[in-house]
Amino acid sequence: MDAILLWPGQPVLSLVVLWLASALALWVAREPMRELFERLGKHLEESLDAAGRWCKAAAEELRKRSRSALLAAGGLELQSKLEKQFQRIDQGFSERLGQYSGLHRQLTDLLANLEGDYQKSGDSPPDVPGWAGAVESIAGIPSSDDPNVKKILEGVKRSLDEAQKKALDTYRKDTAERHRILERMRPLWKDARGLLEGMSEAVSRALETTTRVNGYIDDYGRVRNDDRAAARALTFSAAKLFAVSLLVLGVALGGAFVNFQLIALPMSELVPAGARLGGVPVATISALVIVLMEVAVGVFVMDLLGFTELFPRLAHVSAGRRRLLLGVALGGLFFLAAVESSLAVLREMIVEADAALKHALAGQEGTIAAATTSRIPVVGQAVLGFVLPWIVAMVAIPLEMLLDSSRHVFAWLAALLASGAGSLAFVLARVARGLASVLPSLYDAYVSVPLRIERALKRGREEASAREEGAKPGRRARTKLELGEETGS
Amino acid sequence: MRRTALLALAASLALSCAEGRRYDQAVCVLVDVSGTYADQKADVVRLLKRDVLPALVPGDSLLVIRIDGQSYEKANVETLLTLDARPSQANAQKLALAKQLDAFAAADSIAKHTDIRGAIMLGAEYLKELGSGSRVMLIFSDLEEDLPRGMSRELAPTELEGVEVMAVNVKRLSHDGRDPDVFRRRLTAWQERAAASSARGWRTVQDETRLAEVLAEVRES
Repeated sequence: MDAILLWPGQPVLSLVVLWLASALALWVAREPMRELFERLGKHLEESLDAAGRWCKAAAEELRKRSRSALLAAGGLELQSKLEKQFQRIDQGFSERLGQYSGLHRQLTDLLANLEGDYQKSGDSPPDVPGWAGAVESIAGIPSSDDPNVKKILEGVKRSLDEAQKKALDTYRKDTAERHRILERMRPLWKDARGLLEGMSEAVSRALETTTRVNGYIDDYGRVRNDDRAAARALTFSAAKLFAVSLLVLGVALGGAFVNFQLIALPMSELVPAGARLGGVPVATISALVIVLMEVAVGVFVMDLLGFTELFPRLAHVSAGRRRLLLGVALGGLFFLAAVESSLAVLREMIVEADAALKHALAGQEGTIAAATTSRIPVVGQAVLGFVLPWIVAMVAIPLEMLLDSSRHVFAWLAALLASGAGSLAFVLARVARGLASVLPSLYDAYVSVPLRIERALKRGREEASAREEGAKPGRRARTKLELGEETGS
Repeated sequence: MRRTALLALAASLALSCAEGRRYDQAVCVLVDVSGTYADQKADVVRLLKRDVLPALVPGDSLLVIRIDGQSYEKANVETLLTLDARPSQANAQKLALAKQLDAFAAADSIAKHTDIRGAIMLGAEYLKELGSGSRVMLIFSDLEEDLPRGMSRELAPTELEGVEVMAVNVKRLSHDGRDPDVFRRRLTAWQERAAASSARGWRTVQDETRLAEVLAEVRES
């Protein structure tokens, strides 16, 4: 502060003189400065306006590209879904149609059996024609005392009784036979009902599939027609996929970290423990490599199983080779899991040995005996060491989801950022315009003293000249006339 | 030709990726067994077992030298051991070493004179030969040198090059209690000697429980 004072002993005077000198200097440069403010404001406003427009255009372009990429991706996905559905329908129909002839034959046989049985159940032995009427007529002859007649009538009665008894027996037999046939029909009816239910289920499944296919075709149509709603739905779907895959990937990374911690220590038994690479122990790097190998094998397995498509060339491999590769990959994964499991057991042994050594060196040999009796930690670590590689191997699925959805999400974010930057540039352009209009007034306020003096001098000069004009009437009249013309115009 | 160029490129990449720096550590322990410090021997061994041995990792070396009236002799090397690269083997070695240290503590040999510089020279030679990534010399003594008549000991200007010297558990003598300046001057004199011999550093460790931490710090620095 003292450096700018002209007279350090008199700061107020120094500041007043400085202010006056600066005000005078700025008053002298007032016109060019005002022009500078105006031009600067205008340039800034125009530049920021242009930048804002460019940002908005870039955001729009990004949005368009993102939308078309999203729609293309959505279209491809729907196409793939449709293909899968058609394949299923094709397989289903071939299978069902193949089965249909057998089913039909089965049903026809069943119905024929049922009909036959039904017929049989309705059959009964015919009565002898006129036999009953004859017997009734004879039975109606009044009894006489003639022993021959009596004998005949008794014989007829006996015959009638026997015939009735026989008829009753026959009726009972027939009824029992009908019941037996009807009893035999029950499982046939059940079979028929089961077959019809199966057919009904197959039909409803086919209807369900066709409804799903209809939905996909509708979606596909909307995507093909560049529908905004479809694009919005796809954007939301991509964002949701991104969030979910990020979460799952985070969890999988946590699993990988636990896995890594399980094998990092025992790896020092397998590789030179003291060696380092880039400051990191080789044992740690080896453990990391094993975990990464599990992830790599997992990616292959998931690709070969058809869950992911990270390596498109694998999709074109023939089924036989695919099975072979899958077997090799699964074998490798099993081997790694077994190695990890044994390393986990080794880890526990090393930890126990270290603890025992420390206690022995400190002269407390008996204190850890109780802690080492439980085998639960060893078993737990072995199981964890075996299971974790399989879980880590599944990281390929969320990884692919993340890769697929991230480009859409990042494009959307970039468009949002560009749009935000554009809006900010517009706001700054307005601020620049405002400043360009405010700064001259502030400038004038700072140089107000010399400005007022200038204006007072100018006014005095004008008044003096006006007085001079008043002394010359002709000239004054002309001036008034001129003034009147100017006012009129 | 092309294959050779590719091989050369791969070899150069592998070499550039390989770690140039060594992280193994050699610890040389000088234990005073002369009259004024002989009573500390058991404590020193306990401290070595409790704090120094567990801090050693596979590949590290430990050298224990006895300070007596004639320290610059091979017979003064109580133990010299480089730990195996496998942790399980290294643990077994540590246990065996602990037994040797116990035997050393049990031996009741008290020296009449104190040849500290002789032990330093012997230790420095061993450390140089081991060529570990970091070299540390721990001196367990009262730092009161008492050479026999006619003995000459002079540290070379590069005697302790690259060696971090630490005075641990320095015992205060009776006259130190009367005038602490005597003790402080003695420490300063040793610090100057270490600096004159191009030692990497000199420090006195009062809290022995921090030894493992200090050793790890030297290893990483």
